[in-house]
Amino acid sequence: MRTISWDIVVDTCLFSPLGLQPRALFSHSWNGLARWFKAHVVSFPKLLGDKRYGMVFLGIHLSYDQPLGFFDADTVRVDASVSLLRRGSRVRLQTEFFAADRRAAEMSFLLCPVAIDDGVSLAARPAAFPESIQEYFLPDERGEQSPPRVVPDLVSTIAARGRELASGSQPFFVHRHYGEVADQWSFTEIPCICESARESLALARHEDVPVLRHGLSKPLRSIDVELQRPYFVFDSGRVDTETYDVDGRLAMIHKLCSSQPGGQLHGTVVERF
Amino acid sequence: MRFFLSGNLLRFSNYHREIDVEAATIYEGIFGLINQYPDLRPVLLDGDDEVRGVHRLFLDGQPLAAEGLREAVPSEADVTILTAIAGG
Repeated sequence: MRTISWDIVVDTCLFSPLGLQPRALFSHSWNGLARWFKAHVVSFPKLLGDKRYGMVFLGIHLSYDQPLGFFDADTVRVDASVSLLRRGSRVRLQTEFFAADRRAAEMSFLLCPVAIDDGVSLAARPAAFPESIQEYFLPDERGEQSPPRVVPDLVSTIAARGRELASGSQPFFVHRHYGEVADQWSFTEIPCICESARESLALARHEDVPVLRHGLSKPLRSIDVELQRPYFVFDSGRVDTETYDVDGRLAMIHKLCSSQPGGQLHGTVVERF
Repeated sequence: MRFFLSGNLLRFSNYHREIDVEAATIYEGIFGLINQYPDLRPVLLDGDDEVRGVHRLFLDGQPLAAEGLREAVPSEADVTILTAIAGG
């Protein structure tokens, strides 16, 4: 399996006082997919413009290893690899972040290829990559297995084992700076939207529910995301948050919702501390 | 009828979200929309003038099947057009 690597030169916005910003890791990982495709398949503009295929997200996992601080390293190395699953109807992107002689975080993404129906709006429908794209992948980068769904089991386990602490709801609006080239929201905003909901709830309730303060003071251990449908630019959304104490650790379940016809649930995000 | 547009369709309707059209059927109404905002044509319709399958239509909040496009609807009907996904 081929891996592409590059260095990010550390700047202050890559970090919060608690460690590497999840949004930055989401964004650099996505750039890793663009780099890998440009090196081994075709560039992103040509994938959308010439091949008329794109990819949308179904699932995302981020887990942190040892916390990495701003002063620990001058650069962060990123390794990214890409493979096909389910005969080209799914794509897996895996990234790892290394600095100061250790791994700081790892991510995996499950994506669904989509065939672009019209080149103006970039509206699309799910479709396996055709053989003309799949043939760029090496045999060990082409799998037939179906990826497991992680988030539903995680939500069930947290709800069963945890003690519910507090809940809240936070609206948001998809301005264009949340979005990407197709005027669809960018998945890189997911950690920011959930962080806003978490921090608002924790700031409002931590005096009577002290463990909520973990959501302000402790570094994240992991984020898991399952997406059902996207938001588009100028959509209104809402994050419904439930918080749990699971064996002394804080866990948050965020439901990304809207009031649009066709289903209110856009995705589920689990943050664990 | 009143069309409700959102998301990536808005830049083709000059950012108008609610557009009133006089028409007996939704299919006819879509052409009324296109008359007002010609940039919507390649986005909403394919080369055979059929509504592209990437859009989901709702009549008064209920999903609309393809055969419902050409059925008569009340003049006060609300029609929502959503794009399912885009190739981003």
